[in-house]
Amino acid sequence: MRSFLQPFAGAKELIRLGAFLLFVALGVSIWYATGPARRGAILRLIAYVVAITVLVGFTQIESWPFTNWALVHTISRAKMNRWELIGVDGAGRRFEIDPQAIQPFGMEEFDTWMRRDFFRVDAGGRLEVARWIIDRAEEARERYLKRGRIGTDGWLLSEAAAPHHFTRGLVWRSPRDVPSDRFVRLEIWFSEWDV
Amino acid sequence: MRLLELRERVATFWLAPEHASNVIAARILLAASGLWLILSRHDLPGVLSLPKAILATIPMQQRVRFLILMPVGIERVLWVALHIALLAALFGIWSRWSCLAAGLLLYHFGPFETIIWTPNPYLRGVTIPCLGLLIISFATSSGDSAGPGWALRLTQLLFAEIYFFAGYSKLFAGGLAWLGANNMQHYLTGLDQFLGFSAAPTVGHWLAQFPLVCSTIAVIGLVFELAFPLVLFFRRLRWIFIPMAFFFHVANWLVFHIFFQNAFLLLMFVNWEWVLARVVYARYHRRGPKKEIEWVNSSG
Repeated sequence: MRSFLQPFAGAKELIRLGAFLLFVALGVSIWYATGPARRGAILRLIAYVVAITVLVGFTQIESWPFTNWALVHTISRAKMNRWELIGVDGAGRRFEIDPQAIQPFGMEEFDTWMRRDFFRVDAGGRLEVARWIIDRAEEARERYLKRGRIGTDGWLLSEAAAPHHFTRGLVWRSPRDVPSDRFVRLEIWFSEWDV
Repeated sequence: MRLLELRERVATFWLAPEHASNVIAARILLAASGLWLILSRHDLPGVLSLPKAILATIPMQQRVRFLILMPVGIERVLWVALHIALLAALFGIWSRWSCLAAGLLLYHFGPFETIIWTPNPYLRGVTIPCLGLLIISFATSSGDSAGPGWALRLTQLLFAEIYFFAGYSKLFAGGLAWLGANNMQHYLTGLDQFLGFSAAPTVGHWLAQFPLVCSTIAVIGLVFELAFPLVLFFRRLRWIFIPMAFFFHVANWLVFHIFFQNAFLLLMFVNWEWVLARVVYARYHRRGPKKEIEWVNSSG
């Protein structure tokens, strides 16, 4: 199914937009229908939602907000790997950067971008991304030392802020885990290990 | 003839009347859930201020699909509008329009959190609020002879599909091998290590030592997920499945470090009319004798 759809890769996002717009159009049509026509309009919307969610679910081809709901569904691997972002201070000391520094992204999102795209962008682009990471890390370091908060998510709700889908163990647990001086350099490590 | 009969029975199921308080509760839960998430990701429009090298990797078709085409300043205005729409939906102010605006803006902003990786931000908490609020908006109008029960039922169906297709996807991608102890052991240990929990002993790491327990977790989890939609048709099963689902999510959080932001939406399956009736009944019986004493005292 996926390979069959490959030639239409450019159009598939527009088809998905169309699927959502059709849902909205069918819903709005209920407002303007009366009597038996209204009953028909409601049943048409229900039939459409059931059909599209079942189609998306069984084919596992997303059309968000109609989605496949796949979760820890693949066979797990005996080898795992991960990017580690290391900030270096003026004295040359290395500190792992807490992934909360790149909120509102969760670790999963940024880690996947790094794996897939970081080495596909040109050298200038990589430098730009590295500068952005170190700036975010620096803001997070200052925030942590001043207010005890690493990321931006908890600005209003503090501890009651919604956690991300995958919760990450804290990297910065105490002020000793961050430098008192600013980060001046970034190192990006790729770790791979046997589970 | 049988086909017509079946069609009528299906229509009767969907259009059966529902207590208004259950639909109101669903609207409140969906809006509160959406509001909680956006207040927890206050810097989401700032995603558009990412380095150009990152933004350039987002395909234009995906940006068109979610209308992520406006400058960050306009996005911030829309972000404020989303807060207002969700608040209005929460309090039932202009429900039709506030739910419509909230649903459409959630569709627009939902993918911001994952767009650098995938345009499919499911399991980030906004999918069901987005669709549910839109459905409630469509159902909100005067002269609805069927009552808005179908809107609640359709939203409940979408919610039940989360479990069913999460179960199905495991069989689709991994087959029966997904149920093997080895697979679960690798998940438990691997996620602990990947997510940075391996420094101290964890429940997941401890469980991974017992292959039989791992297989049992996999089988029970899968059967639970595939069977969850039964709650749509057999209301009494909700007494079993809803507490089980809460336990399932707490266990997932503790063991797999997976947080399900929509767990509170399980309360959409509660019969609030029944709960309210009991609360009113209990209050009446508490107040009854008290009033009598007051009357006795004042007359005495």
